Amino acid sequence: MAPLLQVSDLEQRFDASGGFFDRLRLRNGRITAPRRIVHAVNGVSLTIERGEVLGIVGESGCGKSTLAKTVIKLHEPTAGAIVLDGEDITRHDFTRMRPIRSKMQMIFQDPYASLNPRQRVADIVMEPYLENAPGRTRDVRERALALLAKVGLGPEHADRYPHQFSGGQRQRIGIARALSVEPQLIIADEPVSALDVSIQAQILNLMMDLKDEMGFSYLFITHDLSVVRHISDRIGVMYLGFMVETGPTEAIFENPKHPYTRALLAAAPVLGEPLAAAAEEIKGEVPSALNLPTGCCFRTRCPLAFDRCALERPILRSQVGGQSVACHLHDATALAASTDTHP
Amino acid sequence: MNAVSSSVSRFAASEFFHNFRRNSSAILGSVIVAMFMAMITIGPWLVAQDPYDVAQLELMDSFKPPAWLDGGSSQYVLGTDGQGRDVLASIVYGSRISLFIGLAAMLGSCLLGTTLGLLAGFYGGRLDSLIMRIADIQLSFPSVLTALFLMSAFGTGVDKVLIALISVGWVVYARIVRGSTLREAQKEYVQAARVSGLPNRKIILRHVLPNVLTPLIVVATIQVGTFILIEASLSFLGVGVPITEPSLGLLIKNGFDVLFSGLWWISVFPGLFIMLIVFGINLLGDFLRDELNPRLK
Amino acid sequence: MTLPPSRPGTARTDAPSPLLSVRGLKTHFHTFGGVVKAVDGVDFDLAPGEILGLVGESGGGKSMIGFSIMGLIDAPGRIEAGEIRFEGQDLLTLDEAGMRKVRGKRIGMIFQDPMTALNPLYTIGNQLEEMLRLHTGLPAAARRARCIEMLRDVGISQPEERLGNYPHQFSGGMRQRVVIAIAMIAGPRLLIADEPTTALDVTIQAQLLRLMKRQVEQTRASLILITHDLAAVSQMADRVVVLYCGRIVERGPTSQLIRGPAHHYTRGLLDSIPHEDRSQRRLHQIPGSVPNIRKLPPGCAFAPRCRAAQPLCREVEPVLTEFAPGQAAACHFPLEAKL
Repeated sequence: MAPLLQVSDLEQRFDASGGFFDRLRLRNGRITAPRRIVHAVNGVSLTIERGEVLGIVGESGCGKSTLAKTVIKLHEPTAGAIVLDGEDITRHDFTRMRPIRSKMQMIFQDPYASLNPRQRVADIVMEPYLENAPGRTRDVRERALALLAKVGLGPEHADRYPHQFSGGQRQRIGIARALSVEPQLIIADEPVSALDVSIQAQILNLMMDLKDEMGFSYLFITHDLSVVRHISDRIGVMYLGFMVETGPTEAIFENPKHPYTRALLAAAPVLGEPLAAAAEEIKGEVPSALNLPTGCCFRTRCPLAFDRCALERPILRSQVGGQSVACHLHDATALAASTDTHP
Repeated sequence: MNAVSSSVSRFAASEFFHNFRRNSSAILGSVIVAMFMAMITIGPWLVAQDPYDVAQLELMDSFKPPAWLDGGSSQYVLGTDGQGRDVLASIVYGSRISLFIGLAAMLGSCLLGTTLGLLAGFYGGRLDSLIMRIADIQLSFPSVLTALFLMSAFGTGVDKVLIALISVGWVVYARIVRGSTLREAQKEYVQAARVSGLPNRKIILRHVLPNVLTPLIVVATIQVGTFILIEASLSFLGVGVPITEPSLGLLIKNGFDVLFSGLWWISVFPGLFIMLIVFGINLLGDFLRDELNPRLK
Repeated sequence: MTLPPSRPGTARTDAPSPLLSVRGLKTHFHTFGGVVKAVDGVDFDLAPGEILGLVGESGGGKSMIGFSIMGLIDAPGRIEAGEIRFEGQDLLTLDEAGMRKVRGKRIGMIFQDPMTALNPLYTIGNQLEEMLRLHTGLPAAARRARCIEMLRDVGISQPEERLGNYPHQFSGGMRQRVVIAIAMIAGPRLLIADEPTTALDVTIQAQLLRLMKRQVEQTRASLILITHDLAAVSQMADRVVVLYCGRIVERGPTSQLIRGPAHHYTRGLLDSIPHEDRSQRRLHQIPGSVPNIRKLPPGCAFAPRCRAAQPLCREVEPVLTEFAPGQAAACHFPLEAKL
């Protein structure tokens, strides 16, 4: 059976130049109007099987949120292909996307901004359903209450407004909204990073229980390594819009191969363990997505970079451990004939 | 009925009402506005005459001073003008026209400005540039000049005054709404509506519009006062309302010709009323601004 | 009250009196909806050279303790009662002018958001030098030299050139380094860091935690680290204070408290952090949510969410009781301590 979601060589570039007059520059006595292009996602491929959780982890500006929003077509992809449930939706317009909306839904990061403050909870959670099932108005109320019950809210909550709820409860409402159309894929963009740790555990448990019950898949975006480790079957690590390493969760955490993955794991604080030694610290700052470095995206900060890294852009290659790594250091151990591996 | 009483009691217990009760200038403002409203609704039954019914006018009673001065009569509390019109009655009737123009121009400006601001902020790009450049041009164009053009082309009338006022007034709404729309459209609930498959029209009406209206309440309140003043100036300059529908501004103009002959009451009392109503509206507007501005909280 | 024993390395025997001693601190906010008791009777001590972690979830009152010490509570908030004794002087008796001499010079503060903590209109050189101008009698040349030295200390390369740069020319992590430099330059004895790394990426976070630890160790200053991140606290702090609804629920030496928490809230917080062991599929969760702080239940504020709650817990507020050396919890039925 074909995978639920297959994304190939997805690219997303934004023009950040602004209007024509904002672009005008005086350079060497000549007036030019250069464009500033943000390379947010650079040739990312991934697959998600039915019932699977793929976690995407990376630091701010690594393009993980843009990737999520491009997959769900909040942004139009610049290049590449998105195939959902066997249907290529890359160039779908508004009308052709409408049936897709009941297959793919999203949970957002900010529990305060993701709910319309002027809508009642019952209207919020039923909005995707009503939009995709015009005419069906009979059992709307019962459906709304059933959805709220599913996420642990009572019928007394249905007619309240979002400001009457705590952050965790709001996130439950957002989850109920995504579930209203019974999607096959839910894209979760940092769904717990704005929550307190005890509430975070509640929401993660709820998300996993719902998945087990309803059998959908998650594309789970987060910067939190302990969360991604807990929830994902497989993980993709992103840096500067590139996928640098992917593989089964345990393989990545037990045996990280890419120097960036290693640095990321070393930096994460672990309860009760002393601060990591400065030796594992990566120096410097993430380069600007306006001007990508040549060759490997990580070479400007990589302690192990050598001359080939500046010349040639490494591609993801399957490794013996079960993961794929985009790093020249690991070319020698790469499995043959696997250059086009999808994570 | 129950819903009404429960929402009334909820309002009485709200922070808004609590702060209102402790703000003396807000209370003064609303008392002034309330008295003004009462005057224009029940006033016509209380005053001595209908100043526009020629049959009721007595030329004999022309230029009578206010009641407390020598020669004044208790029938005409604030005196009469050259045609024997009761000044108080003229003010009651003139206030209706002034307030109608102020309110109607505000509503028209709000409707036009909000629509254009929503479109500019939501769609951006060329449409945004076009609307906002028109707004800039409009701002550099005084309403007196617009009114003059309209009068010279189509003659005087309340409708022309309204058009002149709206053509200037919409800009402030368009700017505020565009700004809030840009901010709201970034928020995740608008993205969620997109993901739900809502067409833009529904996103704008259901999600963006309700969330950009609050700051407009303040502007709209204060604008009614401003419009009353602008209308008065237009009428005083002779490019405002026609002589058959005299507003407070026109009353001042009518009395102005004889002001220096010592017949001051014909223009001074309408002037005082304009001052009072605009003052009351502005007090109310200031209170609303403090209450509804989240930054001051 | 006896001071808890410290971890090896933080000598406290030579400093019998605490640097900072907070007693019965109550900071309340009088809002329309009722009185918010953001801090409600908090006691703790801080020894010279010690790193103290204040942890808790949002609404716990941890930030308000920092602001209270700095005298930065604005209306409708007010410090209702208590004593904040710093180097033997009660800060609550000082007026605004007196507090201004304390802030920056004797107590430095690092805020959460490095984007707003710096004034965008002044160069970072100006902002660093201003602290020295206000709080020291150094001549101009010496001030400049000190600024350069300080920037180098916090890991900013080419400090001579960087002095002339404006905040927007720095990245988030670099800005937070500058904020740390400004907080430390006048040589304060106490540094209060309010969620200093929350807005930053995990790799930058580790760098900055290391930097702060090194800075306070070098200058023998004390640090109050206010954060929701238990893992970060466990790596930094000598002792931890856990807050819930404005009250201390538990305090103790870090490793002891993490190994054997006595309060059920501390236990719940520790357990809800996703653990490496994936065999435990479901995370431990604390049921319910933080109560409305305007209408706290009688008795223990945590009782409605506590699995071990008894009728007593809903009636009588437990007091902070020491039950193991240095470790105290406000609980009627504490967990067995593991020493």
